Amino acid sequence: MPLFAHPAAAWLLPAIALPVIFHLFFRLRRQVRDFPALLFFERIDPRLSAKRKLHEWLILLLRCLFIALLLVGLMRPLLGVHQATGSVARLVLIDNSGSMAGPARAGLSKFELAKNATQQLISAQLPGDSALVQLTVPDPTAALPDTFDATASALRDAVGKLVVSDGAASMPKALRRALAALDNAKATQRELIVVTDLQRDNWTRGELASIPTTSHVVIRRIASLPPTAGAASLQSVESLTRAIPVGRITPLKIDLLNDGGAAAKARLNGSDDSGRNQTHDLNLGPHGSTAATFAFSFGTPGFHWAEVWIEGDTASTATRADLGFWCTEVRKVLFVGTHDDFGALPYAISPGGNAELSGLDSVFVDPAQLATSLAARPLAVVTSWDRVDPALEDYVRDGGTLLLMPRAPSGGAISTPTWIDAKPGNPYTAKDPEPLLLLQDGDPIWHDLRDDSGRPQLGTLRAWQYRPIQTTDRDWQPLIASGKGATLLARRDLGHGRIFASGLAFSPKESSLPLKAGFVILMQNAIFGDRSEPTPVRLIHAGDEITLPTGSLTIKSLAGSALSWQGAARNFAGFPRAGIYEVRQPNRVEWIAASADPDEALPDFLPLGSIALLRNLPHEIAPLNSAEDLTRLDASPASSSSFYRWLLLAALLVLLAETWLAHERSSDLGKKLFQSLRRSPTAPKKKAGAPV
Amino acid sequence: MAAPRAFKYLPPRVADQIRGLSLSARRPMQGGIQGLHRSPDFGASVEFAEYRDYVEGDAPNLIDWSVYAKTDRYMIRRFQDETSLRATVLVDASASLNWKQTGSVTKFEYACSLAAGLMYLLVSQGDAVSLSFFTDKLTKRFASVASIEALSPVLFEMEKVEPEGAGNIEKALHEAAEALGQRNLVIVISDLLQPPAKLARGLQHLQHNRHDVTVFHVLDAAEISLPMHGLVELRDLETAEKLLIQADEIRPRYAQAVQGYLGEVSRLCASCGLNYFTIETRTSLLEALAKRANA
Repeated sequence: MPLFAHPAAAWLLPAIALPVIFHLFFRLRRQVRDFPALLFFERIDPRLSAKRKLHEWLILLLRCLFIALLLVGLMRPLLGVHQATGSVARLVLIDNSGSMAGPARAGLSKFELAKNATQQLISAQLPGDSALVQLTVPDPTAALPDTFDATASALRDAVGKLVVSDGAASMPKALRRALAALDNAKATQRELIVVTDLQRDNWTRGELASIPTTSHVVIRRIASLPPTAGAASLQSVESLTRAIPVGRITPLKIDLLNDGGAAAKARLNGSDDSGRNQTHDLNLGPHGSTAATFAFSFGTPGFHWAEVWIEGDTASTATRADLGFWCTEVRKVLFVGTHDDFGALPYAISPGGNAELSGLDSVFVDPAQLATSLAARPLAVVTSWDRVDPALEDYVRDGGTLLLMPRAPSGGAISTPTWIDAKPGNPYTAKDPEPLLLLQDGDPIWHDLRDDSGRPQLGTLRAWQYRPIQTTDRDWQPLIASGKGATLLARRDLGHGRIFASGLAFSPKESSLPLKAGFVILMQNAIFGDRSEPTPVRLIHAGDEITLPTGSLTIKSLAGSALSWQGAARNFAGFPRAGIYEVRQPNRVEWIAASADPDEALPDFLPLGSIALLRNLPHEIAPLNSAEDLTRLDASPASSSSFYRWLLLAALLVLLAETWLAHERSSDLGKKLFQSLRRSPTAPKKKAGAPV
Repeated sequence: MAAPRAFKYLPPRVADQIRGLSLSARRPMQGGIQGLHRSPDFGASVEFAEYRDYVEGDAPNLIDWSVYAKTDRYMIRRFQDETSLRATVLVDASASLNWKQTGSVTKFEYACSLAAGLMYLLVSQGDAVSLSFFTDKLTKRFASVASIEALSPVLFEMEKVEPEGAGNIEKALHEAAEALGQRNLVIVISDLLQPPAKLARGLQHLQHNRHDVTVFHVLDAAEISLPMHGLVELRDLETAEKLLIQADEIRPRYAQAVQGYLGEVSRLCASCGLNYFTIETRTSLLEALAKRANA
């Protein structure tokens, strides 16, 4: 049975009969008239009727032939290759990326259709042929045989148990893996059949260099239904790259997107490992987006996890995110001096006077005992410009955070150690309060303080007393400046740590900054910071490549997709679905929090045309509309392509012949031309003799 | 008392119009009674014919005494005889005449009207006229009539004739030529749809038998111009043969063929010394008869 690249064009095959129908229609519509005698017609040409009929039928035949050739050409017949003798090794590479969870036209999900088609292909194999199935997103839960000698029933059963992933596929890697497996197969012919929806994101990522292969590659594209209803998906979930202190309330921003053509009503749910639930009702317009925030807080140190998922009018994938947190004990912030030396700052660091909300405990130490206190590795040290202990240099260089500020009330001129490379200027008292300017819009210190345009907003800030910061090193980044250009807050990195230099005493008596609601956020950002630090938690998207520590591993899922795996790390395929996974080795434990890949929800698919990624790999692309399509075994791309061109060329020739014949009949062109040539020499004489 | 029914083919209005016309033969005729037409015999008309010597047995009162006085010879003066003529109208009743398109009547109806007019004209001037219909033979013959009263039944009978069957003009004319005895004025009314060579043989037979032959070629204008469009399937009225034509495409060549045919027939009749008239069914009867009367 011939295979066609575009069998849908077969629906147009009845159009071949159109010329005949039109012909019969016009014959029916012809006038029938009595006439006294046909004597005069016979005097014109006794053979007129027969000649005309022959002419008509010939034109009709050519018209039918033209339509037939055109349609068969459009169907792109694929010339069979099974005339050749020998066995065929066939590898079916099933696209199990998240987008395949979407509906196909056959009423199933695309992944189900791919599975059914693969199973039918396995059943339809000829004796001597062999098959292997691979997945584009490696799945350790899939019990697929990895050699071509598996029995058809075992392979069929394994395919039947496959589950679609939440991740994106790396097509170049999957194709290389599949072709390598095929090239090792013992067969006279090798075929790679890729069953996919050709989601653009998957098929445009990466590069596929030229692969020397003898395998015949066929891409079978499953058409995707356009999203007409609401299809909300998780676009992104803010991730933490550092540990959080116990009790610290950590808000995480969640972006949602509706790729559907209609409004989506959905509910965003959140749940953590202690059973605390949160929820948000969402109403997203067509192709609209929105954001929500869930705040998480954990009461004990160690690993914690949370899940976020949406229900309602959701997309078929990217509806779930699993998050992992590493919690530490309450972190201390040392204030060198007494409470009164730091204005409102201690309240911003530890709102409520304790660590319940921020996880940061403000501890006031005597300057003489600072060196001792530093041994406990406080999260940050806040001191006045005149109390910079030499021990602080090592503390900062080792990763600590130092905040220098003037003491209130301000004193005279202050000298600072050279490693700080900054000093406060003389106290300045403005006659009129000076407006303050916020600088470095992109700096992490402005996190959660930016407006919709991305500009940091703290309301109208004014200062009437301050010390301008004087720096000589270009590493200092000014963050707040006075209207007259004096730097009032700046930051620089030193070693693994950082230093904040403030000319403001954070007292309401000197500026309006401590009175602003954003002051707490600003100081939390400065002290807690955004810097990443190593934790035993990794946040990934399902399907992402991940490097695990070598050696023997035991992996089990704590939440989300079930997984229990044990073996050498090099044999572990990856995390194909969203979930919380514990990766345990004899001497260490780490946790993987895998979220569904949001790109998989994008309803953007490549058409049946050429695939740029495969420009170095000869291949054929054909649709897969039903499970039976795959059993129409595949074809030779080169010969099919040339055959298609021959068909179109033949159609063109037939069209030209038909045009010539039809024109010759209607206008008797040749005869008229001959007569005009014959008459032309006598034409002037006739004109001369014409009556005037 | 019921009013007398009007003749279909000779309405009173037409009869009134044509009453002033007269028909004559080119050749001398041999009528039964004294008439308006030249006879091959000598008679008692005022038209001098010749002198001849007196022979014994001639009536003495025929001697021209003035010639005798001058020449001393008995001479008899002879005058041309004038006689009535015998006319025969042959009307084609083949199926091909049962057709009209541009005219208001079929060719057959027109031919019958023309025949009726001619008969009326001839009878009115004292001649005797007979009528025959033919297809491939003489199908219906009416006896010769010489009075209006005798013509009436013939006119009524004509109305009952229907055109049907295939025609063979040559064969019918041969039969007519054999059937007609004396010199006759033979008027053939037909659409002449036969190859000219065959027509010629029939007409020459009549001519050979010393009949004065007049041919009225009755045509519908549509037969000449083919005023139809598009794909047309034509059915031959006589043979039922069918032909599919693209009318617009074939029209110029068709008109050329028809004109060629008409010219051929016209030349043929002229060479035989026949009176030949092409009459379209749109032509008024008076005009058609006047053509012959003035010839």
